[in-house]
Amino acid sequence: MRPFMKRVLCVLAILLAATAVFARGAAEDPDHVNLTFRQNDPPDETGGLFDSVDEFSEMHDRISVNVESVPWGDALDQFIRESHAGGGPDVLQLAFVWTADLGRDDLVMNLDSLIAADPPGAGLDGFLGTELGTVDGSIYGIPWTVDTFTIAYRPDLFEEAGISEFPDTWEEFFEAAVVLSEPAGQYGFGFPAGSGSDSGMWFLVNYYLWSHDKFLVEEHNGEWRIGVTEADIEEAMRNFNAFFESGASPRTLIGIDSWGNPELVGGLARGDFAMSFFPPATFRASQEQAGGVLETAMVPRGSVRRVSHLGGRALAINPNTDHPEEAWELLQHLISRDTFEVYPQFPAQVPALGELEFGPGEQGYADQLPHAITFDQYIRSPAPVSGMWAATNRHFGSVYSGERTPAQAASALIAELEELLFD
Amino acid sequence: MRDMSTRRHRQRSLHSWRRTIRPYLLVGPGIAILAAFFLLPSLYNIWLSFFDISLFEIRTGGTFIGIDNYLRLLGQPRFGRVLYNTVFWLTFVTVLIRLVAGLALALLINSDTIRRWRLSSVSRSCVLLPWVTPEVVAVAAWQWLLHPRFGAVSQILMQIGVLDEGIPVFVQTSTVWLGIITILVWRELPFVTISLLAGLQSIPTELYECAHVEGASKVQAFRHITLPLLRPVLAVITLLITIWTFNNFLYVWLATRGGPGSFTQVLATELYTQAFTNYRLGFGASMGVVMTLAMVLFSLVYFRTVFRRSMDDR
Repeated sequence: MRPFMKRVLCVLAILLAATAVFARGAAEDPDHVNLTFRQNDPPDETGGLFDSVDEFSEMHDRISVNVESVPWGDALDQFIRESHAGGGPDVLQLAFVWTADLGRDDLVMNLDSLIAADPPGAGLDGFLGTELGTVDGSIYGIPWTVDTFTIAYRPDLFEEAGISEFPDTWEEFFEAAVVLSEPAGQYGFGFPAGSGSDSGMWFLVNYYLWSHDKFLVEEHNGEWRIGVTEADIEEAMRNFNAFFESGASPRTLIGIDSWGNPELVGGLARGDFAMSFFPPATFRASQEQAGGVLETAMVPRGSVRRVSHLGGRALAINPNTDHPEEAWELLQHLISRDTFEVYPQFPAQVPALGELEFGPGEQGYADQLPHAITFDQYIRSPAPVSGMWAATNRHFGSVYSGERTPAQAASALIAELEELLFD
Repeated sequence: MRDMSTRRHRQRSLHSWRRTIRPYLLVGPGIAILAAFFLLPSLYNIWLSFFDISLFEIRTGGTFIGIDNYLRLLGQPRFGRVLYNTVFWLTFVTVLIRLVAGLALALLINSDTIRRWRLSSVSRSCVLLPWVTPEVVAVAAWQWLLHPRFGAVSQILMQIGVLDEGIPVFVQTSTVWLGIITILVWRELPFVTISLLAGLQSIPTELYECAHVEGASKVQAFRHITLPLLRPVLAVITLLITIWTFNNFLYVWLATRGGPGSFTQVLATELYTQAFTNYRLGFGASMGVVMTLAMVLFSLVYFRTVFRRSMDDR
């Protein structure tokens, strides 16, 4: 190469390197902190969450927050993989049932010192469900929102069918669903009956079993055991399968895992279904489409009680974060009253929850919440909740599709629960 | 004089050493990349399969249990069903359909009629269309097409009076495999068609002309010229699509997630369920090892029989 060309290339290389160094220096203020917050809800359920995060960034000159969205179905696996590799978001949203599992292996940060230095909200006692994020007396996640499912319905279709009272027991509920299915093209009950590992069928099955005072697994005299018999499971399978066999529910629902599926949300809004089964955010999406005609009612009563689950989301901090104090500041902002003014979810703090104003048609949630219990018993058991969840959906699905009889499926489900609990 | 001779000798040996080392330097980075991204993860997977380890315990490590994961896997009653689904429905049926339909399409595109009507380019582009569609999009589109209430297929069949009501293809045990096979074949057929088309176009036309002069019919020409000369291409394609399909996770997972119930669960989806839903990473790893061994065994048998014979015939 000629000397002149060599010199030109050298100058160009130096200029390029200098530009890269200065550009990097200009973009990165050493005092500036970039945080990543990960949430898992679909866009129609996030409401003003993004605005609240933007507001936090505006209030803090040296902190910027990037919001990532990962669907619930992938969120746990993805975070575990990232966490093991030393990465992941700084602050993340978790399902209540995940926090203890992650905390046990230090995959989320122990928050004790941060709580001691700057307690969240009006103090930790003011939060519902803190026991779900507690491992060996230490807190690993701050409860953020709570919810439960109720039955959402169309009063106009009830009136047309001549049903004046909302059904009280599971038997009455089934009978009403059959009556409501009589008009052509209309079905009584729409619910997520899919066999997927995160299908909403899990909640219905547990509400049914709990209402008869049965639990899939339970602690008895310090020992863990299966809390249901094959006959209990078989009966539950027969009862839910009856919705399909009687024509009260279309068989297409056997392929639907999510309660937020457009077929359910739009189906109730259009009047394809007379009743469905939703958490609050999904109900609001359906209510908006229906023009405000929907109502909610408590879930049916079993032989012992009427019960649903107290679910919700917790916020946790990734132990891999370089900025734990700033992450804690963001977390505090997310659980604040300011956030819940724009974020349409029920806060997990008791004082704020007490001041809740339920929207039109949401009386069912107000009535149901005091009857909601957490999955605490399942979370404390040696069987992973996600494993029980997946097995339950799979075996109920095998009955709906005709792959197995209720007796065969019940036996297989008990065997799998035993494997998860004792193996 | 002696200095010069020594220097020349040194230069020669240096040159010779460089010539010896150069090939290793050239292939070294490639081998290093293969080792880092394929060999090490595979060895780690084998290592994990001997442990009782949950997804949460990767950092802390699990308990060494020897071959217990393998014994448990082979002793599970549902493993037989999952293996049958993988080998028969997912792999054998779809590979067979793709080979037959791919050959038929390739013959059609290569035919004189298509050439005479100047449709060769258009037909080749049309065949390639599914191949450029991402799998996720293909599955979502087919799910909507086959939806029993809103899907175009059901609507058309109901309007022309073939059906009274739509068929919920993906939730009935009688139709669910048909749905998965339809999507998989639609999306993966172009690879077979285009490969066989290339094979057909490499057959000298003189052979067909000779056969025609000798009085051979079209069927005889196909049987005695086309098929034997396509055999090497067919052998390679069959091997490749069998391995790809046997290990495939996407189509079943996106279409049914192994359901309804566990009716369409295949090895890849079962592995995912065990490792990432039940958190049994070691058990899932043992399934991965069994899947790899099955394909290694298949490839060895295939190489020693079909593949070698096809190449020898050539």
